[in-house]
Order: sequence, then C-alpha cells, then structure tokens
Amino acid sequence: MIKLVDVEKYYANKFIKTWVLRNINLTIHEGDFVSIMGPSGAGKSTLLHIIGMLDDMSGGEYYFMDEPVHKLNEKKRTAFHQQYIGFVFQAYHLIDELTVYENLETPLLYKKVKTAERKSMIADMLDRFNIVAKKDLFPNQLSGGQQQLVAVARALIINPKIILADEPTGNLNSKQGLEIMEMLKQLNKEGTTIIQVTHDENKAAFGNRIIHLADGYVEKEEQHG
Amino acid sequence: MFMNFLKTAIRNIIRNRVYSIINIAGLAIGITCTALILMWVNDEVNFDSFHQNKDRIYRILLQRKGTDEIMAITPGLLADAVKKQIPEVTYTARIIQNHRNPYKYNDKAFYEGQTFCVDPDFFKMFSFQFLSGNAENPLVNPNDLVISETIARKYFGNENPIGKNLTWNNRSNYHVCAVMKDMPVNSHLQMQIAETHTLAERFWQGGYNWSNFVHETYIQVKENSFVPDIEKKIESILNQNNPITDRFYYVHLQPLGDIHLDAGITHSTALTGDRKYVNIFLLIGFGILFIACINFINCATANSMSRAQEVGIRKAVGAQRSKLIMQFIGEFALLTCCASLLAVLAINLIVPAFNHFTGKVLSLDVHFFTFFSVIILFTTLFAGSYPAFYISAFSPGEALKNKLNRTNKRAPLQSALVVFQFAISILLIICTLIINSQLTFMQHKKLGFDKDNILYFPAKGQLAEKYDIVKSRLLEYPGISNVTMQQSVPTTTINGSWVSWEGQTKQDLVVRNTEVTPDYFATMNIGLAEGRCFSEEFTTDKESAFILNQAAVDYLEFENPVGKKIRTAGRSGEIVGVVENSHFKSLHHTIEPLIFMQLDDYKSIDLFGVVLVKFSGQDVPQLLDNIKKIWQEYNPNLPFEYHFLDQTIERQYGFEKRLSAIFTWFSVVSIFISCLGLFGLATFIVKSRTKEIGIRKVLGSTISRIIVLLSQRFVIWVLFANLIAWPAAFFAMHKWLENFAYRIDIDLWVFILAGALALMIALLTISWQAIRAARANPVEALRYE
Ligand SMILES: Nc1ncnc2c1ncn2[C@@H]1O[C@H](COP(=O)(O)OP(=O)(O)OP(=O)(O)O)[C@@H](O)[C@H]1O
Ligand SMILES: [Mg+2]
Repeated sequence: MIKLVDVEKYYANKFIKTWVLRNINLTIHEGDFVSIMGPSGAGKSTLLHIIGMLDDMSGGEYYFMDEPVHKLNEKKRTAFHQQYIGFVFQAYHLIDELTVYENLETPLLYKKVKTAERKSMIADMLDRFNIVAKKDLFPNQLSGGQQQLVAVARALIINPKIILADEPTGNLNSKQGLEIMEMLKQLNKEGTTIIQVTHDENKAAFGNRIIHLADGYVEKEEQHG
Repeated sequence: MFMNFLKTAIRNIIRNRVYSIINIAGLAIGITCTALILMWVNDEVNFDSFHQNKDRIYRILLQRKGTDEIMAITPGLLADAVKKQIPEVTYTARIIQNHRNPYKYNDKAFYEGQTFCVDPDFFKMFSFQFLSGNAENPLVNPNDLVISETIARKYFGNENPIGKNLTWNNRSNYHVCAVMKDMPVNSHLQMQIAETHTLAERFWQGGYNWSNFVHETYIQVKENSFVPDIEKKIESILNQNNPITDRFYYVHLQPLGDIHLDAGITHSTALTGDRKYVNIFLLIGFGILFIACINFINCATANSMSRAQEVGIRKAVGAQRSKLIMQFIGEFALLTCCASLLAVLAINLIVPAFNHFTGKVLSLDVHFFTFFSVIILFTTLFAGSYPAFYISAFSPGEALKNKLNRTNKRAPLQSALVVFQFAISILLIICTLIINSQLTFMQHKKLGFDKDNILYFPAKGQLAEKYDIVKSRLLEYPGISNVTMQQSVPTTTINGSWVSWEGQTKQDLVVRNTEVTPDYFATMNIGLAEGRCFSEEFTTDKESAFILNQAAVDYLEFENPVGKKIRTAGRSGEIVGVVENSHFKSLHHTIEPLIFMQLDDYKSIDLFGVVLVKFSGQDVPQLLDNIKKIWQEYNPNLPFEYHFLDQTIERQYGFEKRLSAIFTWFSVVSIFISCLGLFGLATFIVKSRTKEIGIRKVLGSTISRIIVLLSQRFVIWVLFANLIAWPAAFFAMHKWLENFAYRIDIDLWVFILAGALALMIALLTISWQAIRAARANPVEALRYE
C-alpha cells in the first residue's frame, strides 16, 4: 500500500543543509499496524507528514496505492486526503474558531457528504468518544486530553483506509489511552492500515511492526506476530 | 460548507478585533472617497448627456492659421450661411452673452448675468424643458423672452409670468413668452434668460457681419453625417466671406459631449471643467482606495500566521486549494461589505456638503450603486486575492509544525506596499504644500495697482451722464478719497483694436484698449513711468491722447514712446505717457499690452462701464448707504449693485482655492489610512517579537534601545517612500505650475517638510505599540510565548 524508496528530507538554510530523514526504505502493506519509535527529534513526525502527503520530500520516491506521490499534483493528493487518509496530529491541531461539532464536520464538508448522513456520522463519533456534552465548545475550552480525543475522532470520521497518528495518546490518561489503542486495534482488525508514532513501548506493542528511527535513519525494525 | 466558512470568518473577525476595525475603517474611508470622486467624475464626463440630439450637435471652433489659439467665437453671419449652403446641417443657433444688467418688473429689479441672445433653432436643437408658455415656438417676436423658473419666481412670485413685461436696463421692454425649467447643473449652457438676436442686432449692427467674431455657433447635423466633410465646407464658407484675405481660419466641430471638458478654448461662455483634473482626481480616488487595499493586504498577510494552522488542518482533512482561496476571498468580501455599509452611511451624510462644495446635485441613485458595486468588487478581488493565494499556499507540513519559527517569518511584499502607501501620502502632502504656496503667492503678489478699499458699481443712466457732478458729490463724503470711471470692470478689458504707430517696423497689431477718466491712475494707484497722465487741462486729451502700459511699449517696440504718433480704435493722436504694468488679469496670464484712452462719451459705456471708488475703509456700511442714496437720486428705477475689487480679483483664484482644499483633504485622508495600516502592522510586528524583546530586556537592553530597534524598519520604509515621492511630486508640480505665468519656485524645504511630517506621523503611530512592548515586564512576555 505504501512504498518509500530512498526517501530523504533536509532543510536547506543559507549555508547548511539540516538532514532530517535519510535513506528511508519502507514498505507498508494494507492491514499493517506500524509503530514508529525513536528519540525526540529523530524525524518521526516528519516521516509521518511525508507519508500523509502534508510535507514534500527532498528526494526519493513514494508510492501510495501504486500512485507515485512525488509526481502527483495537489488535486490528486487532496483527493487522497478526502478519501483514504485520516491524520492525528501530535499537537492535536483543531481549528480554533470552530466548535467540536464543526471541527468534526469539516472533513465531511470537503468530502461533500450529505447533511443528514453527516449529522448521523458526527453523532456517532461524539457518542463513541463520549464527548457529546462537549460538542458546542471551542477547542480552547477543552483540556488537552479532550482535544486529543476530538482530533482522533476527526481522523476516524471519514472511515479512512489508513490512519496516521502522531502520538495519539500522548495527553490521555492511561485508561483513555488504552481505550484509544483498543479502538485502533479494532479498526486494524477490520482492515484499516495504521501507522502511529509513540514513545510508549506498551502502546508500540499494539502494532505488528515497530520501526525505530534515530537521527533520520531507520535504525532497526521489529516484527511481531 | 458556506456556513462553516461564515462561522470561521465571523469568529475570526471578532477575535482579531483591532485588525478588523483597522481594515473596516480604512476601507470604509477609502471606499467613501473613491465613491464620491467617481460620482463627481461620472457627472463631469456625462455633461450635456440629457439632450436627445446630443450625438448630432456640435459647436464651431475656429483656429487662425499660424496660431495655437482655438476660439469658440465666429462671425455673426456664419450660422445662416452654413444652414443655407450645407444640406447636412439641419439647425444652427448662435448665442451671445449679454453684459450683466438689470431687469425690472413692477418694483422688483435685479441684475442678471446669465442672459443670452439665441436663435430660434436653439430650443429645437437642445432638449431644455418648458413649463409653460409657447414651448413649440418660443422667441418668434423680437421682444420675446424665455425665462427660467428661478427667474419667474424671483420676479413674478406666484403670478403667471406668461405675457408679462420685463423692462431691461430701464429702456427696452420684453415680454415673457415661455418659462423653461432651470437648465440642469450638468449642462454647459447655463442660461437664466434667453432673448432673440433681433434687438441686439438693431442696436449694434457692427456685430453682425463677417469680420466681427462674437457669436458662439452650434450646429445640428443629420444622422450619419461625415463630420470632417462638414468642417471642410464650413471652412470654405468662412474663408470665402472673410474680408481680410490674408487670414485663414481652420474650422473644428466640437462634439457637444466634449464641450464641458475641453479646457483652454478661448472666448467660450460654456461652463467648463478640465479633463486633466478629472483624470487627476480619478487617479487620486483610486490611489486612496489602493492605500486602503494595501492596509488590507498587509494586515491579512501579517495576520496570516494565525491562520496558517487552520489552512494546514483544512488541507490535511481534504480541502482543495481553490476551496481555501474561495474561503479567504469570501472572508475579505465580508469585511468589504461591512466597510461598504459604513461607507454608504458616510456618503449619505457627506453628499450634501459635497454638493455644496462642488456645485453639483449628486445623489445615491442607480448610477451610484452601480459604481459602488464595481468598487466593492474591485476592492475585494484586488485586496483579497493576494492574501488568499498567499495564505492558501502554506504547505500543511510547514504550517503545522511549530509555532515559534512561524511568527517571525516576514510576509513578502509588505515593505514594498508600505513604502508605496507612504509615497502616495508624501506626494499628496508635497502637492498640497506647493498648491498652497502658489495660492498665497498669487494672493499677496504686488499687482501694480491697489486692489484693496476699492469698490465699483455700474455706470448707468443719469448717474453716468452726470458723472462730473456725481463725482464731486461723492468726494464730499469723508470716507471717499478718489472716484473714477472706466469703460469696463478693470479685470476685463472688452475691446481690442488694430494699432498703427509711428516708427512701425512690423504689421499692424491688435492691442487691447480701455477708456478711463483722468483720475483713474491716481485712484488705482498705478505708477507713471514716463510722460504725464490724462488731464482736464488738455482739452484735446479726450480725442487724441494715449497712455500705454509698459507691456504695450515693449510689444510695439517703442524706443521713446512719449510724443510718438499712434492710431487705434478710431482715434489718432500721440502717446502722452507710459504707466507701470498691472496685473488686471489673473496671474495665470502674462501682463497684456494695454492702451488707455480718455473716456469721452459718458453715455457710451452704459452697458458695461463702472464707477470705481477708493475709500478709507472706515464705516463701510455708512459709505455704501451714502453711495446708494446718490444712486437712487439719479437712477430711481434701477437697482443698486456694488462689488469690492479685491473680492473680484480673489474670485479669479476660486478654482485654485478649491483645489488646495481638495488636496488638503486628500492628503489628510491618505495619511490617516496609511497610519491605520501602520498601526495594525506595528501591532503584529511587536506581537511577533514579544519574546525577542523579553529576552533582550532580560539581557540588559534599555527601553530606548528597544524602541529604536522596533522603529528602525518603519523609518527606513518612510525614507524610501520619500525617494519615490520626491521626483514624482517635483515632476507633477512643475507641470502644474506651468499653468501660471507668475509662479513660485519649487523649494527643497517643501520636500523635506513633507518627508519629515510623514516620518513624524508614522513614528507617532507606531510609538504607542513600541513603547508599550518595550516597557512590558519581560517575564510576562516570555511566559506569553
Ligand atoms: N523548518 C525546519 N528547519 C530545520 N530543521 C527542522 C525544521 N523542522 C524540523 N526540523 C528538524 O527536524 C528534526 C525532526 O523533527 P520531527 O518533528 O520530525 O521530530 P520528532 O521525531 O517528531 O520529535 P518529537 O518526538 O519531539 O516529536 C528535528 O531535529 C528538527 O530540529
Ligand atoms: Mg514529533
């Protein structure tokens, strides 16, 4: 489903190139549950952004469902966002001016989902994440954990084929965190591909593959049953 | 989707209150100005458009071969010949403006200036509306008058004016045959009273021949006529009949629609504007709107960092860029609409004053709203599209990464736009300063005669005939030191005649002349350069003495003028004296050569002569009362009207005065809007550097060093703006000053002053933000980030 060939990423300053990712070769199949681990600054978020087509790479090739992403135009990428990819950001990134309800609604609007259907999908999500009472609040009226829940809900609402989650449980208490992980596991069982970034060994263990990043290189990869 | 956008937009506007208010206020002011200017321009360019035959009416203009002057006057016999001999011409109408003279009905008597002789075709060509009387065929009898409703009300009140008599100048009787609606204010013809040519023709046969150029002639041609052909035909008729064969005249047919805006046509009675100023104001209008749009663009791009996250998220959840662009343009449209609403309110309030100032009758009509929509559309697209494209281009990965390094990124174009904004403001300030100094210069320049404490009134009837007694009686009053009589108001010489002179080396020349009584030079305090003034002691002075001004001496190339023989205006004799030059005409013009002759026949000046009185300036009401008493004694049937000479001269600069006022307003507005923008920008810049300022303070920087640090960028911008504005202003003002024969030099200090002013205002604007940021508690600042 995803194939990275010699992907690299650097930031060119006036004088120096800062390498963030080098020589990334990675194949992720449909139905995989991949955990990415590594020290802070290793390039985990960057890699996830690239996979999520939110960031351009500096070199290499990237195939998403056999389409060469490095050659795709913006329109096509947008279509992928609308149809297949659900993204959970490390910093939640909700739209400050929109309520919880409206934040959940936004991806559906871009996907042109009909009003009635939209309403039921949102209601469903609110219910599933237990945030019905918060639906008319603005992000800054929520705790960090609640914001993260909304962020996860927003990623799931379009029924994506692949979920990219950057520390989706970072701000949740362990019980909530486990619940989210269970939810992801369940989705994975139903066929959704999942890539998550985490610092937590236990949570990484939910995946069938663990990729260790360090200094922009893939250091090692573990396979689980 | 739309609701989602709308909610985001409204919440954003509310959250960024300062930014929104600055944008809305600036735009509202800009839109108001531009809309008003567009309304004015629209009115100017649509002058005379209410005439049904507007596309087929032309005015005949003549240009003598070998000269640049294009004049609106033609020989009196041309119109008839053209109508008879050129089949394409359906109507011709001559008009000639009468001198300001009194009309009387019962005990109501007033002086009227907007009175004309017209031909019967006149009302067939032009679509002026009639209210009552013989609208089909007005002016059939020689004594018929067409009057405007204003005149009708003034003389007849509620009576029916049709068939009533109006006495003109205490001698001729006219009777009113029709009342027309007042001519629209956007008509180049502004007549209050129209009569036939018949009576004037009887009085003054000389005016109706082929050699006297006094009539303006309009023609109406058949549809689809080829105008250059007609021009050629008129040209040949004119030049065949022209008695002076070595003079050839070119004929131009001026379309009706051009008459109002073609400036520089001489001897035109039309109400003329100037296409040049229409263009300048249009430019300024859009300049001001542009300045407001720049605020918009700058605030939006500076603020864009706060929207970057949203853009990133929306893209990540599947927003196409086109959708984002639409969203942002829509948001700007919302702001523009708020601004427009305010602008409509403001315009509604300002229009009466604006009308008063411009002499127009503009209103918020259909036209206005069409323009208004165009302005709004233009503003939204112009101001909205760049920020929309800029903001929507953020790569989501970049936008979502970390907040710290985003805020310091400088929006491109920002500096260029601010520089441009200030350049326009500085340009306007310089123009204002120079227009003002030229105006002051003109108002204070020594004119070569005393304009103060001189009043004049018409030399009419008995009062003129018995001038010698009147004069001595006037002089008995303590406030009056001199009295004199002149053929016309000093500022307008009405005659020009061919001159031949002793020692003549070139052809005969036309020189303007005027008749005065001997005490003229003493009354006006005009200095004698050579020889003597007219004197009662020399009885022959009346027929044969001439006094030239120095310009005339130079023009005729006299070495020793006094005693030389000269012949002009039907008199011959010798030059007895030379007087200093005086600026009777406005300072737009060079001093014209002028020949003074002694006023011989007091009766001859009845229509346009004036008595000039030099007074002490004390107790003017009493003085006026005394003069009025004498007037009534001699002219019991005529109204008394007087003018002060200095006011008459001041009126010559009415246009420049208004121009100066307009430019002052424009500069104030443009500076104000620019400062609004600067304030907004300063707010953002200071906000984005809060952390840096905090750290610098912790490290020991003083408050003043931080203020300098924050202001630096703005100072550089304004200095750059000067660099652009100075040459532009110099060029523009240099051209403008060429309108004046007598003008100020452009001084460097004007530029420095304008630059300093702009800099000061800019610094004042940002200092509040800078000082606040510099004095903030550094710990607060750091925690804030
Ligand atoms: N605009 C940039 N210019 C230069 N370097 C950058 C830029 N953005 C990110 N980096 C660098 O890229 C590296 C990887 O960043 P990334 O956010 O991917 O790390 P991460 O592995 O997700 O760390 P964390 O666990 O703290 O989230 C960092 O060392 C960071 O300094
Ligand atoms: Mg990260």
